Amino acid sequence: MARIPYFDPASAEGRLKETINKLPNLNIFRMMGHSGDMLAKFTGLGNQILGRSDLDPVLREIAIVRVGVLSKATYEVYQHERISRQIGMSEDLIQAIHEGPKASAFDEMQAHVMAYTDDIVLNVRASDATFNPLSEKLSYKEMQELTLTIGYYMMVSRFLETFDVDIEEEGQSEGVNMKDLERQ
Amino acid sequence: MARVSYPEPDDLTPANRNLMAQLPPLNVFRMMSGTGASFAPFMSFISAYLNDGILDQELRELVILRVGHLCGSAYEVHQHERVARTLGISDERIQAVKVNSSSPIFNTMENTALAFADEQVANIKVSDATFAATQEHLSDPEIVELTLVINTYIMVCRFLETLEVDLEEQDITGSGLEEIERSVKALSGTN
Repeated sequence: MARIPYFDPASAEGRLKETINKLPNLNIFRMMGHSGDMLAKFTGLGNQILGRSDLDPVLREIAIVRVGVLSKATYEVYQHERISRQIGMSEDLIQAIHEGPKASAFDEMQAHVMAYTDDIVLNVRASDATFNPLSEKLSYKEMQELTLTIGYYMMVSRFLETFDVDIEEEGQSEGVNMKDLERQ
Repeated sequence: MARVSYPEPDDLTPANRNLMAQLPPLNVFRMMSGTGASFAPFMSFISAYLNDGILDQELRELVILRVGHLCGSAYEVHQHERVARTLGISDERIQAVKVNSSSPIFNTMENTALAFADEQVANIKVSDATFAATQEHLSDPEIVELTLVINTYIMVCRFLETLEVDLEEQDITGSGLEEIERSVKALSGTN
């Protein structure tokens, strides 16, 4: 049970109403409705991270699900495992994200992304040991995107956990559709 | 020296180049402009609470400084101490927020919100006791905004520290918040 009541969409007016009408009926967005116009800004940033980055989508979802696992954010893990399946990731690969960077299902790049994510979440600054192997392979833009993505999903995870946002009931929402995001 | 180079203005999209030209000349924004499509929404997001937020501004800056200290980000602390001074926050309060415990220099609401920040950083989930104490001082929309502000700086500190964004040789004058607001408004006018 969420710690505070969800925002009542029927009470939304103006821009907030427009924003809510465009978003999937997910509890995270219902909770963030309390913040008024910040909901549009927050989801605006999330949509660009998900839909308009150069970063490889599989590497992105590995980082996102890993942040959720490390943050014990069940809701975040649930929603992004769903997106991971949408983009064709195997159950073995998804399971490996729960195990750690050394899991055998990862290729070299994926293992580097796991280690980099762990380092940033736990230590704020990634050490040379996790930064350098990635920066040799990724563009600067991809490094900037990946770092922002990890931080953004730390924010999402803490938000979800602190308000005890509930996983949706069956049939409430089909969730985020990546194809729609990429078309925007 | 930053770990990855700042994008050159010529390498930016016209929209991001235009946005950069209107923002205060801070290295954090130069580095963030490298994220391409995420740059403008990032600026709009931070302007939403910096310029149009509902939290008390002094409370907001104290919390931002506490997160900067806890995350060990000299750049974040430097910039927001400047913002705090521009808002008229006393040096004693700016110093006191470095210490990770409640202080008589802060009122009960401030000490409670700082404890909320401490728990967000350290434990992810704020305890029932701290959450309930915060509800005695802040409305639900304010608690939602407080949580977003705290976590924005958990994100920003990681971006700054991991990419090793450099402090500017010279400080900008003023808080920079008005420039951020103007540039973001211009953005929504053109999009």
